Amino acid sequence: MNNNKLHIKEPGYKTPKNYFEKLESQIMEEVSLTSKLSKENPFEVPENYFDELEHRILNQASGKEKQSKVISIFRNKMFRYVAGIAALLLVFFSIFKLQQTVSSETNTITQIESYIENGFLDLSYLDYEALLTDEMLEDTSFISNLEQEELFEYLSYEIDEIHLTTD
Amino acid sequence: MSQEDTLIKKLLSEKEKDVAFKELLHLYKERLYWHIRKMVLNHDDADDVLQNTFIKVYQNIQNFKGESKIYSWMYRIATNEAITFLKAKAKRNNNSLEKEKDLAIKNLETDVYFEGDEIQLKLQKAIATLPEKQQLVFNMKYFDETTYDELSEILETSVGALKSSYHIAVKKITKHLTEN
Repeated sequence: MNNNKLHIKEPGYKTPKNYFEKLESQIMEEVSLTSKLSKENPFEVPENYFDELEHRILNQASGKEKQSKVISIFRNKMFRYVAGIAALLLVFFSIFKLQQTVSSETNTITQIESYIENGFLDLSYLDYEALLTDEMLEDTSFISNLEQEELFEYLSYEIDEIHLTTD
Repeated sequence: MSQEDTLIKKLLSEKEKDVAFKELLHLYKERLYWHIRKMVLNHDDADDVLQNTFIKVYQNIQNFKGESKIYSWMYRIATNEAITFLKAKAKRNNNSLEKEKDLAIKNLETDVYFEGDEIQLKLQKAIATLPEKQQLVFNMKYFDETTYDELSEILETSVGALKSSYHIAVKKITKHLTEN
């Protein structure tokens, strides 16, 4: 046995460059931080939280798994026949319902027309005014289409009417 | 076969999956909760993220390749879930991520589930100023005393880079606490 081997002072291990210099400052920083602050966890949880959490997650996980295992019903031959019949019935009833809607719409329009004709719709000029926008009121393009004579005739007739009503 | 290998085998089997999952839940619920809580700060948010994490674990267990330890894989899922949650919350509230974090810290002052004193609140404020990865490294090393090897597996980063991240974080936090 070579006795020299028993007196090895450098066993071949190495450290990264400047390791001990850096280590000192790193340990000092850590020490200064822990002396200021405790490592105690400042956060808390509601009472029995972890016990009831297990039940909740287990229920949720098994529930979701069951959902994802659903086998498509479209693979079933019987389902296809039933679905076909159901689709036909749906089309039939849709057409029937559509016809009903159209006739009921026609009825409603006729009812509204007769309601107005019979003078039941009592609207003041303020109600009409509310329906007109500023743009509509400022639009005078229809006047240019009128013959001047027609316009005078219309105005003289309307002015007489107004006088008569105010009187 | 190690205990963990047996557990994974059960998790992958149709018959024993639920029993094994219950065991997994029992073993890791608290560790994962605290990991998430330190990221999202608020208990209700941590509860949401933790549930999503375990549901993802349950649904994706067949994708676990066994290249790392199961808790590292779960930690990664939890970390990603928490980051996604924080980003979605910020977006929902029309805030930047930084603004959202500031608000979360501010809310700690009135949080019934935060028992920290003034200095602990200051520490949380200081942690919030760190970049995401430094926050993770600091919390896991300082509070949870996770080893660098474990951290390296969880965060998929070299031990050297993690050590430097941690020391930068400690320096920044010390500076923040001294200045404020």
